[in-house]
Amino acid sequence: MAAIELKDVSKRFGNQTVIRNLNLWVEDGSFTVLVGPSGCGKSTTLRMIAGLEQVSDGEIRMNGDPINHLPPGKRDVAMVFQNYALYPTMTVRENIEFGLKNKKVPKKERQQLIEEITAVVGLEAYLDRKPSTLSGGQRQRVALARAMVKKPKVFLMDEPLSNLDAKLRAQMRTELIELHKKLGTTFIYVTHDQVEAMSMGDKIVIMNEGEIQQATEPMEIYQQPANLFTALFIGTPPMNIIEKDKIPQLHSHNKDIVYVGFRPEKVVLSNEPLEGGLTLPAEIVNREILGHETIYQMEMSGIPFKVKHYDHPLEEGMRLFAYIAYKNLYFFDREGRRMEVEENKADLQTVAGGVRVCP
Amino acid sequence: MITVEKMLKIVEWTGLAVITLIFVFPFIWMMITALKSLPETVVFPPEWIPETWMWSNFKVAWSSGPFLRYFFNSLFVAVAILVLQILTMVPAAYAFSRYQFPGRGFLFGLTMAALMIPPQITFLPVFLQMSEWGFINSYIPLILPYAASAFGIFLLRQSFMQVPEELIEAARLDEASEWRIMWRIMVPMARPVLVTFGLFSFIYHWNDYFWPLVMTNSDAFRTLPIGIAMLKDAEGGIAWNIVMAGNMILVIPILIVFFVAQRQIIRAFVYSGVK
Amino acid sequence: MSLNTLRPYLMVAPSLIIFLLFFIYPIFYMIYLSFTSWNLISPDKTFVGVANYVELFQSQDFRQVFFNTVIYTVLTVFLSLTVALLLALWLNKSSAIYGIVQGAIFSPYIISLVSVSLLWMWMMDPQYGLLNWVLNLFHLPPSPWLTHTDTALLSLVVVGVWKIVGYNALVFIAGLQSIPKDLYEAAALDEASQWATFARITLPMLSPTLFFLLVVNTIASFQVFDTVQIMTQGGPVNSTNMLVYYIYEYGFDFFKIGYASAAGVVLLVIVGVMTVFHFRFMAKRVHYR
Repeated sequence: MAAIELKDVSKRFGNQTVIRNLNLWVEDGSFTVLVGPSGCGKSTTLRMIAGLEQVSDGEIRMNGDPINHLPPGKRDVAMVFQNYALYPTMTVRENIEFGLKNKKVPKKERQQLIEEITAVVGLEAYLDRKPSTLSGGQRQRVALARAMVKKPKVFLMDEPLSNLDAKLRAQMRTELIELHKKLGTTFIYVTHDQVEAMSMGDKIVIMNEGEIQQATEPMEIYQQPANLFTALFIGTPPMNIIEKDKIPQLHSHNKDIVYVGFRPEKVVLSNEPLEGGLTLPAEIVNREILGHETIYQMEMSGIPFKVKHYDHPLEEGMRLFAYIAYKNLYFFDREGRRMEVEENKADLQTVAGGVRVCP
Repeated sequence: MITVEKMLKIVEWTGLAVITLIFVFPFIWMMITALKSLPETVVFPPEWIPETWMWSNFKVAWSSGPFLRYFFNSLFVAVAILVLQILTMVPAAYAFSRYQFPGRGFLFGLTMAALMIPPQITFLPVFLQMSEWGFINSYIPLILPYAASAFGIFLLRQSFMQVPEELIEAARLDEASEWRIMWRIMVPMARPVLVTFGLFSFIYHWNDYFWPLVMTNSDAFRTLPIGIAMLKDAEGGIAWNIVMAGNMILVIPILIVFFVAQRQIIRAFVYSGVK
Repeated sequence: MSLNTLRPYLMVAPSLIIFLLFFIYPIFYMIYLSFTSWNLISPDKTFVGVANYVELFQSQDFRQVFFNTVIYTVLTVFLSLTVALLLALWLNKSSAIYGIVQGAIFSPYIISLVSVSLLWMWMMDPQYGLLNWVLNLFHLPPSPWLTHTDTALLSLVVVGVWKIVGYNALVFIAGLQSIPKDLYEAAALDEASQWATFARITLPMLSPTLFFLLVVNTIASFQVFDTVQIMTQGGPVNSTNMLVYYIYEYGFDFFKIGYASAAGVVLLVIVGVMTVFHFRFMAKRVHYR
């Protein structure tokens, strides 16, 4: 068990900086997910923790001790790779045993450990098979077993589910969550899939262009996005962002507000304007019926936005009022940072329905 | 009724038979001659079947020189070369395929240069060097210059480059030393290439005449091809039945290997040349 | 320096020491020797400048040897490539019988040149040889084969071709099999004649293979030695003496090390030029891919 700390870590390849002054605290025993678009530096961060990449600047600590100088094998971490990276010429048993042998674990103990681990992941029947004869899910389990058998302080996982089909992925997701609970070890998990991140992590680190955008619990990320990037990254469809100037219904004294955002699923559609929120007259231009939900493409005098509803589908071409409660509105400044305007919500008044204003 | 198609088939099959005969019959002729008596070799037109099969020819050939020694030398030299080549080429190929280090391009260039320099060019200076060092009349000049194979490094490097980097990283996380990664991960994955190379190297050195001819001048270190070639220098003219019997001793091991592993051998020589 | 920095150098060192000692250094040593006069026995190597080269280029013998080598190479390469291409086109089929024939034509290639030389020497025996019996069968006059200046070099060509043609054919077959099948299907849809298909698709697609074989065969033929040494010793009257054998003779029979080295340098230059040619072509090929 271990906490990991990255202090002012930078990584350059040649003259290209891929990670810039990264500071991250990974709680002992947490399930931390690094998520972001490809090229955001999440995998590089993970690989630096593993020791597969050297840091260009800064320090990585495990339980307070710097580990920069340690080779990968000495860091007490285990990694599950995207393509599993099983040794193809070894049997399942040999794959799992390899690290133990390198650590000079006595034979008896090795056998015991292997038995123990294979029982956990359900691989008893396949111990003498070569990885090439196994299915994707079974290979995934071998990769997990190989990582688990070393009893590492930290598990590192680099998009381990991305090669599985959708059904198996969902199943493995649950299994990983359960595994984390059972082991209680620190998991650091890299993915580009926000759904995976939200459903698995107890802490989510959103990265973009080598910088951390936000690092906190899933619900907080959803409810309190730190900036436009985070707001747009989490949620399907993503949050609607509209320039404030284009919403004449919204008046505010706060000159710093440049963008206004609201989530598609927080919009109430009604035939009449409602009080206590922002009301936008709009038309349904398109709809996408997904069965349990419907996504509407709406338009308000040329400005498009999306609405997600779970009710019975409405017809295209309908003219409605889209109502968003004040508490569901988000405000961003010119740089895209979210502004806390909770206390002066009162400042906000709508002119919806041709109405009026504040002081 | 014989159709045109049938005719063509017959023509083609005859052609195939003739082609096969051109390449195979000399070996059969070698065998027939090896079993003839001496007078039977000096008749024209030649006799097809020997009257009595002279198995004793083999004994005569074998005992006309220290053939056990030659045979052992051939085997020892070919095996020693192969073992040393594998030991030197695996680390070299691993370094060339997986490490970035200053001078890598230059050193690999040197390797490729060695690949291009044939022994037919270097034999004289190498012989002079060896005799200066006092190594003539030992196994050293036969084995040492071939203890590393540029061709092998080239082939193996290609194969190592196919191994996904993730596997090596996984092994590093498994606390495997570089040495262990090399022999436990890389080498098993390159097994087909190593088999290919092994066949190539063994056959080449088993057959080699030129190098041992230049580098040896005593029976103690001569190899089988030299011994066989010397059979024809027997006093009182060439006894072809004995020469062919000796020839069989040299050819049969290779033909057996060829029948057992025809596919791999053809691949070893043909495809490794092309790629 | 730490172990990590040194490691790659340590890994390549054993191989490179061998290469430097037995491939690279000897080249320079030979070039040095070619400017000296040395009989192997005396301890002194006298510097004689370009005298060896002057002697070499003025020597009637060397001119003939060089000429023999070129003739041998041109004939062997031309014949073995042409025959091999025809064989490849014919035998490039998948049924078992063709596989057997392919194996048969390849077999001489893996047999020691010693065996091949002795075997053909016997078959070319002017009195009792099998080949004259075959000629007789077709009512042709017997040939003196290796024993006459007119036929000896050609006889060596026959042996050289027989030895290598199977290898060339199999390389051609590998090349043929790498031509995408859909090209032929497209040609068939365009109603291309068999000849047009061959000239416009097969041959151009095969040209890298052809070039590879051309260079490899030329370099190999230029260094012919075993057949010469075993079958003719360069005779009769030098008619089959070729470069490597010439160097060998002057080095080990006449002990004219400087002179032999000068001949060695000539061979080095020729092989070097062909190799550079080969490499430039290969680089181009890689580039275009």
